[in-house]
Amino acid sequence: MKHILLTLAAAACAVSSHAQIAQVTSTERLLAGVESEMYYPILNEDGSRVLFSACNYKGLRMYDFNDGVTVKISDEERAGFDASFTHDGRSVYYVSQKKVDGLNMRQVKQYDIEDKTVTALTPMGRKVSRPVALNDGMIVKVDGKSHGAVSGDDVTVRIEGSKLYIGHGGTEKAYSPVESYAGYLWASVSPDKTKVMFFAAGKGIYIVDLQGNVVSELGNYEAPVWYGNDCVVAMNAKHNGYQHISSQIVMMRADGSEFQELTRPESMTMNPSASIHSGKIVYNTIDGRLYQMNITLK
Amino acid sequence: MKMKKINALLISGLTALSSLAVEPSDLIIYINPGHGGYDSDDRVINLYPFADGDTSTFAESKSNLGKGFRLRELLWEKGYNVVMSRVTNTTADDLGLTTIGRLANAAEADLFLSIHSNATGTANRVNFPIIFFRGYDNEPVYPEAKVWATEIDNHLLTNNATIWTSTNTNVRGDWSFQPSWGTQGYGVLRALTLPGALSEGSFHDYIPEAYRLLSSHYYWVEGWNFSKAVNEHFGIAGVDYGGIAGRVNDERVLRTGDYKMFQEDLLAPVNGAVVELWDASGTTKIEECVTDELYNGMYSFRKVAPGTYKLKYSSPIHYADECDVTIEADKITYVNPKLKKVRSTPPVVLSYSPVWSEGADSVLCNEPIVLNFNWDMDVESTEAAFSIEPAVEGTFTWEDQNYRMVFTPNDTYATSTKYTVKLATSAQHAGGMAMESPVEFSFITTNRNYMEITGLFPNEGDPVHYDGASIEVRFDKYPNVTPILDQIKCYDSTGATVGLLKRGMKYSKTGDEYGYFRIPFIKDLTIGETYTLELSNAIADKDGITLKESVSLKFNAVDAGEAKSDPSIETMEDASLYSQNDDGCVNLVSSAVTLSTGLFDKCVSFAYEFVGTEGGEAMWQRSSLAELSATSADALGVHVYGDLTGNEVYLQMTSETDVKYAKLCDMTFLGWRYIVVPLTMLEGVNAYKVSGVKITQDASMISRKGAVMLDNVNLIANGAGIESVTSDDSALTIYPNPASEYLISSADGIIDCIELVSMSGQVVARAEGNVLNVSEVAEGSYLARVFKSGGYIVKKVVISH
Repeated sequence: MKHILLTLAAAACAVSSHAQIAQVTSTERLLAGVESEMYYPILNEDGSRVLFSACNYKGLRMYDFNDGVTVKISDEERAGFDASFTHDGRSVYYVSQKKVDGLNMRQVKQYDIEDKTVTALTPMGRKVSRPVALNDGMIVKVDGKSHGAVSGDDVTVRIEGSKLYIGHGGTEKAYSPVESYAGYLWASVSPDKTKVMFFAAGKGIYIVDLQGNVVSELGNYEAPVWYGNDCVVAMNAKHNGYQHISSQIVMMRADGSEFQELTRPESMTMNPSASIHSGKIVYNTIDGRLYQMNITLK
Repeated sequence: MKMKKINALLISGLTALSSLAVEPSDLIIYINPGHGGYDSDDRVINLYPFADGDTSTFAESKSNLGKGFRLRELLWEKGYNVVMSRVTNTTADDLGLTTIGRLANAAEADLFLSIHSNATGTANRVNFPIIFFRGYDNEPVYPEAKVWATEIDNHLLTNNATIWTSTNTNVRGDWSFQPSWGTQGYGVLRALTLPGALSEGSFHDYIPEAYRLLSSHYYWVEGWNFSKAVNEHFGIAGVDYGGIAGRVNDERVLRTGDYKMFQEDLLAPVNGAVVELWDASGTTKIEECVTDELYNGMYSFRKVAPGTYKLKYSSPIHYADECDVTIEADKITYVNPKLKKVRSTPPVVLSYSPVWSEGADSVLCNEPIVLNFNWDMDVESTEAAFSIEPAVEGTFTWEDQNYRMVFTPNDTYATSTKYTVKLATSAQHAGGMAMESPVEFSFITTNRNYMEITGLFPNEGDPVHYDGASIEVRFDKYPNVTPILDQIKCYDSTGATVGLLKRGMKYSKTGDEYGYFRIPFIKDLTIGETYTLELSNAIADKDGITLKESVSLKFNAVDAGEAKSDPSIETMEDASLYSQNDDGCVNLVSSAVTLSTGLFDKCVSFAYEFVGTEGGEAMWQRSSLAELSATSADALGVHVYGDLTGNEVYLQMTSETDVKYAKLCDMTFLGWRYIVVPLTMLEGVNAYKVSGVKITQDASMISRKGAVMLDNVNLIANGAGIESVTSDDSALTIYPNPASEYLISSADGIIDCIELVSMSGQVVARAEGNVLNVSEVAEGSYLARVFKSGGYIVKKVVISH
């Protein structure tokens, strides 16, 4: 018990020394005593709301920093896996999953935050890509068929195995900038829509331009997210083959020039989400506690 | 209520799955071969014949991958979509646990399997599968995952090419199995949006299993059983062919290796065995498989049409054999052949021991008889063919895969005796062929068959000064002190063990004249307490010759320095008063008188070294007579620190007219002792004063050198009548010495009885009165204990027939 308490205390304490990129101004636990089992936080652009799910991505809940209220968006399987806010922040896209005749079927849904209503955006399918929020709506592939339409200034990215599909100017091209047998994960477009970041399993985080050229290599960290156009926040987890033995939140310059530990390795902190507009980074601990860290860029 | 709900879920899940009409092509199976790269989080076992660091040895990352490949092949063949987290074994393949889970989710897989093998993490060795799902045992996060885990376990247990130490179902929720992790569980199962299981397929720290996990045939067996579980899970029909797999062992040659083995794993696996699959009539060979050189004996035939076949097996050093085998579709038929080794010549004894010839050194009385053969021998016939004259009871043991027979006598041989060993021609090797010629040889034993205790302290009934006491045992040979703390025990009167200080132990080293060990007690003894000292008869010399019998004796803790009100006529505080008197010395090499720490402040130590083991005398003269005097009516109370040599200590007493010697003791003890000596040997009313100290050597191998310390010599006025002596009485005589028939004691006063006590503390003879028949007592040195009213007196005697 003592060990656990120390671990949790460490989770709450950011690493404040030798900060090169940002200064951590405060760290606080969210929804203590109110909610539990909170994983995979997703902040909206202005940092006023955060989505979170269960450890196995079952269900989706949203916490509003302004009114302190948590609402349940979905109880469905996998709802937290591919969730995102719409571009205007008024809705949430997510993918639900349920068994139909013994097979997992998935469907893209939209939750209207104000009306608290859910709308199915696609038919159910076996293969459903991650819905990508666009300037207007979203685009997703369901069993090979696209749903939604991109406009000329939309920049999109999606992954199939070890292929990165970057779309802009109305066209989409496949790239394999880095060899990775296991595949790519955590692809995202920078806020200024000039770069794409992804994680190559076994290799690490890479940033490419919109033509798939590698512009920086950030190291073998997981779950990277953008903090503005110039910084990246990720998790640095180690394991012994069976369980995690350390995990921390780290920050780095997008050009790879600087690196900073935001939490200690023993804090077992994971799955960061970030909003440069609010100066917030939200992450969870391995036992499902949610923390908010406030930072100021140097 | 909760349990009912879960069971209902499980049942509904099973029903739903069994009624599916899905095709393998609809499904995606995600395979995660656990670990990756030969890195720190890999599990590596250094197996013979691989050198440290050779990645050809067992590495879990490698075998997990091998099993994953075989599973993928089988699933592909059925038409499943398969995704693997890795297909190589490099450091980069050791993916993060979060990454693996997310990759499986991103692949939209329907079923997840993480392939591992297990280790106990203890010295215990077992072998069985354990399959994990996420959640508590009876509360899985995905009920379907528990079903999936159970299907895996059931199929893995059908593997008859291995040796399972348990065939119980071992399907566990990771939260229940690792409660200290809370609900963290196994990392790869945490984030799955699909049913997943982590298979610990067997225990790789069970070394025979580690060898099997080097074999691609074994990977195929496990992969097959995984694929059967996948088919069962989705209600997919199996394959229309079967397979054969198994393990080839020698029928009786044992596996070598200092590790745990169970059941048929005790038999040596056959490297390079040829296993052939023939048609049922045995006329057409269909396929051939050769076992590898990695001590697992594994083979397999992986795609065999249902029907009856003949399986033939042989090796260059084994007879060929065969059996019929029936193959069923979608099933592995396990055949584990045991090959009979070719033994084409009769057995002969290649060498034996002990080897002895006339004029050669005689043989130790505990020497085992060893026979080395050219073949592994049949135990029963060979032991029956063995004989030794004179008859000796002993125990047979077999070594080197039964190529060596060892006969160890239960007790030692008789001394100086000629023994003759015979092995008759009825001895057979394992192939049933008998010896053509008998073997006979002889040897003569030494004149010593037991280790002898030559000095022991404490001895039976001894008073032992409580402070700084030690146990000391002296022997005729150097003892093997390595196991000594297991062989010597001391208990107080409640039966509680009294601790001995191992790091304070001293013992004989090369160059010492006799063997001994001295070991102090950890704590002071309790005054007035009676203790029991036990010496095991397993105490042995460097040749393994042991004591004849165990020793058990009692002794009492006393305060040898208990305050005495009597005046000291010699305080023994000034060593410079004493110097060697050459005229009183015989066969003395050297002596030294020094001031030492005594019972009462200081004392005088008299060290001496004689030329040989008998006939020596040492004399130290006081430069002036002590101040106080004593007469024959008085007694002395003397504090003596004995050196366990058995040598006699005297005080020289001088009057104006003559010189007398008051014998203080035989130094058959170690440490401080208070001794009362009646001065009846003095003349009349003359006043005697202490004028010197004398040592007279006892004839024994432990008497050549030592040191006696003397502290306060007290005057007990009018104490000559004291009879409660505990050590010596110069008025008492025991004769003859050496004795052959009778030992007779004479003293002032009535003698109650005589006991003869061995040097190991055992009472070997006892008689009421003053005459003891010793005609049946073995030769040697003893202590005669003569009981008078109020106490007893001890004298060293020798029995010689």
